[in-house]
Amino acid sequence: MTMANVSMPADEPVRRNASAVTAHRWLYALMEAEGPAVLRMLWRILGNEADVLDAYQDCFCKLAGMDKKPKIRQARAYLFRTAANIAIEFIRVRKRQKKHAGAILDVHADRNGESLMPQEALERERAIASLHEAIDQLPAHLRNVLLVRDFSGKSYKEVAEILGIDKATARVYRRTAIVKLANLLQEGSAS
Amino acid sequence: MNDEAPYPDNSHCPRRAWVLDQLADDESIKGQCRPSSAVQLHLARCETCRMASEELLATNELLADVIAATPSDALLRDADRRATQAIQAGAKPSRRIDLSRIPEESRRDSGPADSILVRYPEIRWLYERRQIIAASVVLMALVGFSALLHVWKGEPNIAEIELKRVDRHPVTWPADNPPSKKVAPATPQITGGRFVANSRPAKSVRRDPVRDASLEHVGSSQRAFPIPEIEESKTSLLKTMSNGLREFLIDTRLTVDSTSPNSPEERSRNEE
Repeated sequence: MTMANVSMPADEPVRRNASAVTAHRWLYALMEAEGPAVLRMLWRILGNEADVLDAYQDCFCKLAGMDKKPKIRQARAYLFRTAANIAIEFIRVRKRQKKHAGAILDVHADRNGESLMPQEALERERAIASLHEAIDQLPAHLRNVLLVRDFSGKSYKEVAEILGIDKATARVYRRTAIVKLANLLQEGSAS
Repeated sequence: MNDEAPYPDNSHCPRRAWVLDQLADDESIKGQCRPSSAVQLHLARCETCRMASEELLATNELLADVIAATPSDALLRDADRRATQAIQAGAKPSRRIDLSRIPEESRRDSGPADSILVRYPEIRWLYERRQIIAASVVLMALVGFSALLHVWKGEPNIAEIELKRVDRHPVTWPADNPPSKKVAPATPQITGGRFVANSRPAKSVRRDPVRDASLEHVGSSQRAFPIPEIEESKTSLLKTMSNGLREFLIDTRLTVDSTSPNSPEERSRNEE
């Protein structure tokens, strides 16, 4: 069964049956603790409600599919890395879409609920799309730091814990990521 | 920093990395702090660093714009509910390539494997094991090729098979029953070439001096004991060969005298 088959009633409260709660107790605890940060990260990367919901569900389904319960630190790291990878995969699919569709306004239309002029909105969305593409081109270790630090709003200490690196290293990686991002954006605009 | 002179060739500014490092800090992105006076002073003098810093600040602004977006609580509740239901239903993570969201043209350009897998998701297991399948196919091809090579080389003909059989069953004459001279005329016809091997005694056969003395008058090529079926096969082989030769000669318009001096009848008549 894929997640496309799972129906989602609009206003039904979250009900968890007893056996599922027992089997995935750690997962629900993780969802409560880290769910907002993961959702924030996905929302900032994807900016589209449907995509965010899909990616969020995918993250936890992947965790639920693990053979044995991981340690909490491993689970956190796995969750954020999975979320980042899924978001990047979405960006790649969008890139393919953009090649042919042309209209990218509808993809990010509900990001902030702002009503911009069509030209301004188009420029902004183009800039954001190019930023996403540049993030996709970053090396994985830099990208993960950038996403967990800036897009999910974690502190350097938490970033270091989640990614298993030193706090100072995380800081250096992030700076390097920003500089590389600027270079990539410049190259993109030049080309 | 007041003694800092402008660089004639700004493309090689040694302080560029330092400047960008200072500007790429989090606080400068969030606008919580301004660049230090040293950085500002350098930027005022170095055009390359100024241009690079402008690009970096533009990136920072864009990043800050993206980061400012915050999801609503309703979205979080929806996401939690949906993920919970999916976990309870035992849903597996889906592929990110959603057919309904990708236009037809894009689907065609997304690579043959993706497009095929999107259309036929049931063969995904086959695609995931493609390396094993490729290795099996190569192995099967190698086996098939070697079998083909074996067939192509050809099977040994009937004469070779018979020779091997005779080699495996070498029989010597018993001492009290030496071969008669009548047997001898048949053997010269088959002694030439590879048929000599028939007469090679087996290593396991004991040498009997008495028997050997009685067989001294018989040539080494005539010591083989004639086994009936072997003799039959030899005769049939010779008949086949002679028939084939005759047909060949007839075809080439050469006449064959059936009462040639080499025929057995003529030979026995000459002996008499």
